[in-house]
Amino acid sequence: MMTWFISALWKQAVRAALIVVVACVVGLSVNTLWGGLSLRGNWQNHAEARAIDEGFPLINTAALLQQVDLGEVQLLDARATESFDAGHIDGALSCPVAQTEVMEELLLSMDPDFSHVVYCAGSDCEESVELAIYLRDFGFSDVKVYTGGWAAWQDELAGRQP
Amino acid sequence: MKWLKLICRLVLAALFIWAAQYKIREPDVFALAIFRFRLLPYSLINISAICLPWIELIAAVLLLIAPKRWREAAAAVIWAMLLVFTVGIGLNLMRGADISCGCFSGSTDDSPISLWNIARNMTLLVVASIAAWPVREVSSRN
Repeated sequence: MMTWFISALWKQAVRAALIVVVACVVGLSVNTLWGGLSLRGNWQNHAEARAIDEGFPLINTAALLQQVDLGEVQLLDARATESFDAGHIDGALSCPVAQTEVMEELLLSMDPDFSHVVYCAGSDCEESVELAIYLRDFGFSDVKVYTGGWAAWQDELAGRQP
Repeated sequence: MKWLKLICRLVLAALFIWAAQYKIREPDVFALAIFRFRLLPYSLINISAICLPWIELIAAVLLLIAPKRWREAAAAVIWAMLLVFTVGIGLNLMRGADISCGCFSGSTDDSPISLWNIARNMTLLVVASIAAWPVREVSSRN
């Protein structure tokens, strides 16, 4: 009985491996034919990867909404002033990382012990992480990165439209 | 036992076909979910996002239509995937990661992972174990 069971498990493992191999071949073929994902991707430059590599905690839309409602955070928009003027999250301050003087003037006027959340255009932009690094250098202790950025916030607002 | 195995197979097949469909339609979203688990090297994220949904789908379909031994093998594949997913969720829970599971939907604003995900997967592991358990066929003699 035991011998039969071990033999059955062994054959099952071989069949399972075959299923996995065939499924991988099918998946890779479909991906190639349909022009899906590149095999390697560019994850090392992804905004979230950079934020985590730099040691900043992330915040998602649901958690951000909660904290904004409670008035527990100050939002900082790292995009250029023109983008900020075209549309931004309510209550956010413009802190354009590319305009160093404007940014530094603002940072000096703020409380470094308060919670701050930085964001930029979306998940592919880099300004939010750069601003977070500036904030840390200026002594700000509680900085989170909202990697969804303005794009995810707009999606959230669109989802709330009746 | 036969009926129990049948029910387990149907439950697993339905769940994994459902789980695979969004991942196949939106591989980039699933890749982001894998990335957020931060368990794989960057070079393996996209390949996993391409292959895993097809392993789920083909194993689930085999659970429904394949001969007995292949059905059990498909259940074993699903068992192994569940084990890997559960370990992944557990490791991220231990490090307090605020990420969503990415199991059935790619929305980044789904509920974050919790012990509920572990409990659900443990239950499914039992279901998959029953479906995968090899049963010896007794040959009838006249």
